[in-house]
Amino acid sequence: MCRGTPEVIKMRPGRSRGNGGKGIDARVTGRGVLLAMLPVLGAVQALAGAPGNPNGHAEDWWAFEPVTRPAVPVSAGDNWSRNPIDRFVLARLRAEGLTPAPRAEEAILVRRLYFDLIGLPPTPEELDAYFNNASADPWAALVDRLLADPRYGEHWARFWLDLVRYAESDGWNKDSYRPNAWRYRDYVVDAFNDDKPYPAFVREQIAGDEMPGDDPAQEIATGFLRLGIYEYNQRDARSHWNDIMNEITDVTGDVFFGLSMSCSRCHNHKFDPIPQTDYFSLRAFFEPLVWTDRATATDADRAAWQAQQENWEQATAGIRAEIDALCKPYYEKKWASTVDKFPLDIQACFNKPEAERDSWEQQMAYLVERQFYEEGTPALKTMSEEDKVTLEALEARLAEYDAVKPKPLPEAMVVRDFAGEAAPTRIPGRRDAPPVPPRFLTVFASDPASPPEIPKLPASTGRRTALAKWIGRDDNPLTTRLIVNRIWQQHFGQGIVASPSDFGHLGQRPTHPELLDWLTTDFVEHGWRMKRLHRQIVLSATWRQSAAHPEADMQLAKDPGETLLWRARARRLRAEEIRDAMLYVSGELDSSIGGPSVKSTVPRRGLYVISKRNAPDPLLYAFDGATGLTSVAQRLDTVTPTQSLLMINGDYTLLLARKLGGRMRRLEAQGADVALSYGFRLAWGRAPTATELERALAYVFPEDAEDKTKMDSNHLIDFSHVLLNANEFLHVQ
Amino acid sequence: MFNRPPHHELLWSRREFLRRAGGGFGALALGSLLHADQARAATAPLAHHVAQAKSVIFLFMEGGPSHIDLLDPKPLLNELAGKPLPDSFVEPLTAMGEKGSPLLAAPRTWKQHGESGLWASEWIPEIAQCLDDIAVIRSCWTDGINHAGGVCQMNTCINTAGRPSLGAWVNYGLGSANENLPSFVVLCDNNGRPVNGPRNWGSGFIPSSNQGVRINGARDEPIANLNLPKGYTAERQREKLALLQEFNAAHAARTQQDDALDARIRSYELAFRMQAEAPEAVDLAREPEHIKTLYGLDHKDTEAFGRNCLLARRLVERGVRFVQLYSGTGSKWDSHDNIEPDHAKLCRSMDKPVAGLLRDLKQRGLLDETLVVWGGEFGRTPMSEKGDGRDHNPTGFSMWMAGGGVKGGQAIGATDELGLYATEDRMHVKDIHASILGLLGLDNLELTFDHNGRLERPTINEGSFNRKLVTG
Repeated sequence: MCRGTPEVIKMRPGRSRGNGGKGIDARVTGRGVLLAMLPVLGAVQALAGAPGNPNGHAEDWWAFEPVTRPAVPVSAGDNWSRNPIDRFVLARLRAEGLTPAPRAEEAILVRRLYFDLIGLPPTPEELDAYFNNASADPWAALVDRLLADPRYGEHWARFWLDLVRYAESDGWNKDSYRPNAWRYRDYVVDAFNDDKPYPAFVREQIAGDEMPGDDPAQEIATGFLRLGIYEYNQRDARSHWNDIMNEITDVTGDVFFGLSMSCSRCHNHKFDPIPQTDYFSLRAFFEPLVWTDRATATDADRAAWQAQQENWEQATAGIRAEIDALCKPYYEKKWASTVDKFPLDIQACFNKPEAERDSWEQQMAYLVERQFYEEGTPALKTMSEEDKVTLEALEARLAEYDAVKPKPLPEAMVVRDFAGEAAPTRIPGRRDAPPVPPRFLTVFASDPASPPEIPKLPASTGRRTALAKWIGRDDNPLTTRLIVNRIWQQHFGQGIVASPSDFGHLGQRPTHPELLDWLTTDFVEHGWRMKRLHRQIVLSATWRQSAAHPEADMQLAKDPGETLLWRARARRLRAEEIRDAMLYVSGELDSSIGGPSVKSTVPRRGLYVISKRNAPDPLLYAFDGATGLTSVAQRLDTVTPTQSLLMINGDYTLLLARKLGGRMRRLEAQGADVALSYGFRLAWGRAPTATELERALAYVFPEDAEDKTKMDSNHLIDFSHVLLNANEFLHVQ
Repeated sequence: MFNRPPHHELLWSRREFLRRAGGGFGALALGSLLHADQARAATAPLAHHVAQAKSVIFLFMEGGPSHIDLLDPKPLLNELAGKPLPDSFVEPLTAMGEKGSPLLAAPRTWKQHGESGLWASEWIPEIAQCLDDIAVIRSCWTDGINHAGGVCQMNTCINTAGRPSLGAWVNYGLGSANENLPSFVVLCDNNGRPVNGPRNWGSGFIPSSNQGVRINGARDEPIANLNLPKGYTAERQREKLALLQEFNAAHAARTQQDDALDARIRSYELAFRMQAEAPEAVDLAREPEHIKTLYGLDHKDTEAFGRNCLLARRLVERGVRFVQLYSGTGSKWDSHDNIEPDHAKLCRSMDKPVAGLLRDLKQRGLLDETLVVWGGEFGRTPMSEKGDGRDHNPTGFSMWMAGGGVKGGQAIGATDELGLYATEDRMHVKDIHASILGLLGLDNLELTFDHNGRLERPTINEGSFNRKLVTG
């Protein structure tokens, strides 16, 4: 067992059964258990030191220790290792009396590599090209080609989008679609394809609006801070904004710190040295945040737009003034009724001039204002018939100038800091206590009593930039290891630390701490480039092992959790991979990259399917796709009859099976065996065995068929359908 | 008692994980390792303590029924009708934001019923006859003022999305008693969609085998994709599945890590069996006429909800753990105006079917092991809205429970004299969930799932089982 807790839990026979379920006692008991577990977990210091000064315990926990550069071990007679990864892995295996599995078959490796790097299977033609490649190192050449393929970014973006709870709707009741959310998604795809250094990637998402430069992508990246939920029709603006800020704080903790900060929202963390003040200190970085939907463009594009816009405004000033005058009373009435529904203190925020508001008041005013716009245009519904006629005429006249009107600049959901005073951040229930300043985790602070100096920026407090810079520091022991481990986890199915978003005491310890440190050091030294890390991993002998080990039972007895990397882990395709691969092998996939999301009936990759939080796509949802409700670091891999019903009875799979059958039919002139073999190679990435081919031929030429000269249509469709339902299609070995 | 297995989902290996992942439908992945019976014995989760309830039927009145018009009479309300809320009451924040609205009379005829003498209004005459089997909880409260948050909270314990639904926890905690049917079923009384959609019955961070499955008994295809593709004969499907299983078996034989693969092979077999069993479970044709009448299937007002109540009985008979019925699907109980006609109609659609369900369960001896829960995401305000309606009231409202070991004929807790705030023996949603779990033998603090380094619990480390439900 790799987890630290099972023994502890077993150690509490009938824990306080006498109390069980008796009112408040039960709660006390529940907490009591948590406390009782502390010494066993070695975290007692954490708790003892937590409220006042948890500092000084950093060295007590591996994840807070500085990253080292351990020497690469050398094992006697090692002719297995290909790079340092392998040398660390082999040394550990030898120490435990284990051996690595043999290298997997080449066809299996190629399919594995394609899915790992671009999320799609190799085509038969690509397989041929690989096997006929006479160059010195065809594997390295293939790796480099796939890493340069733009589909790499599409595939790896998904893992990041899961983490940052990406979805394209508001959630809550109305669940409004966010038509511009995709710009953030495309930003992530581009970032992976450009091999953007991680610190820049982090900084753009947390504080892109505060960065110098003229790249609209930087501002679009702050969409990360817009991905949470928003509730239309919520009068309790105070709680609403509080929920929004907590959510941003939680997700920042999960994604960038790998610490479950949310435990500390209500109390000092019981296992990690995170006092409650740390939670609010983190939240304080986001305190002056304002949401805004605005045009994102280069300065030049913006200037060009502005010039044209001014022309149009000049030409239409008179008409627009008339329209405004006509609509004004109706809008005023609507404004009054929208505002009136909010509590009086919130109305006061709205009624205050912006220049006099602090950031919290501005946020409250924003929620009121947004409510007005979310309600759409019913303001004009109450318009008199006479006014309606006038308005229509005016609008027609205005439309005559559409030719000189500039095309709107691309709009994105972004953030900025409020220009006025930042409201103080306070811990709930401690209204009289001094406000909490923005501050990094105290466990890392040399002097926890004094918060860091945060240089003000021209248009903002600079708080978020300070936070992003801290996360991206070369010597940050937590954030550096965290991202390296996440990449590793995606390749191996399990991280060196098996709890990818929890590097705290409740998470798991690294199985190969020296390897993690070596990789992390190397990663940082070489500019935090993910492609380099992928390359190291997939070139290693460790990654190229077979999923089968000749002495598996013996090895399993020594390492039942299979944490020591002595064979590859077979895995089911992820939700998007299933959709994408079905579309791809049936010849239907539209490979265009980026742009607005589409309905699931449009044959584009799963990445581009509209993702509404309350109405997830049935196929992606059934196969454990992320719904964007919370940060997902590792998808579940479930097996349910719902999935099987969908695959075997659902329209979509059957439609694609038909198309796949069509591809085989087109090759029938070269012989049914050629046609069917092609189908096998498309779907499973390998030629069929003689037995398989024979069985397939017998299936598509049933005895009772009338026409024995060609493959039976229904049976060809069904054979294709079987290829797509088969375990060999749905899994990577 | 002291040796029961710890209720912790520790993903200590992928093998074990996969074994558990199918647990909701009965240990799918174990097929290759153990015989089916052993598999069930090895993974069937055990309750934490002995309890009567084995399954739950949750009758969810979506939109928020008015407690002060149904189960919690407030004579003072009618006395003060038309006047503002007295100064002694703190005016709450309301969803629609009307301020200072006058109190709205509840022009009901109230009667006491049965030996217990519990009160009910004329809007629920049939349920009124069952009050001796019912424990009315008059002191419920919840956090949010809006539907999305309220419905989410009544399902998942908090008002923000992402946590597993109560039905998923129960499924996870107790496992399936019939692997050929989904163990957590959702039935809606119209083709609309409840607020929040399927995430109300989602499994959050616990495996999706525990999530609810929406069944529509009135459709030809009660479960999505249950029927064969159009134009397919059973023979053609069998032939296809045979080829599939043949390829899969050959593949598994070449493969060492066969747990997941075997689980999937079995999932196709299960799907096939579900195709056979589910239509029978939802087929009401063989129910005798007097039973259909008991549920109100003979009348258009009561037919839709009556059908679902009868389906619910059939499903729990067949071992389904948790059935959730939406009445007024799509927030229809949300009477911001016109409460008199709107509520009267909804009560009529629900009253007879619900009473029929209680009577039918009782006459079959099933009521003892079936916990029936009734309620909405919140109640409604004593203050008026738009003159003739009521706004949301999360600070005090009624729910009731019957069967499953609950002592009937009692009222638990109380609201103030106007029904605005819960005052005595207050039960938060967390306490309500803890009590439902408790009645099923599950301890809300011991039922845990390890997620992102946290041991997650269904009621988030809070909430307690109100023992009065059992002891009176």
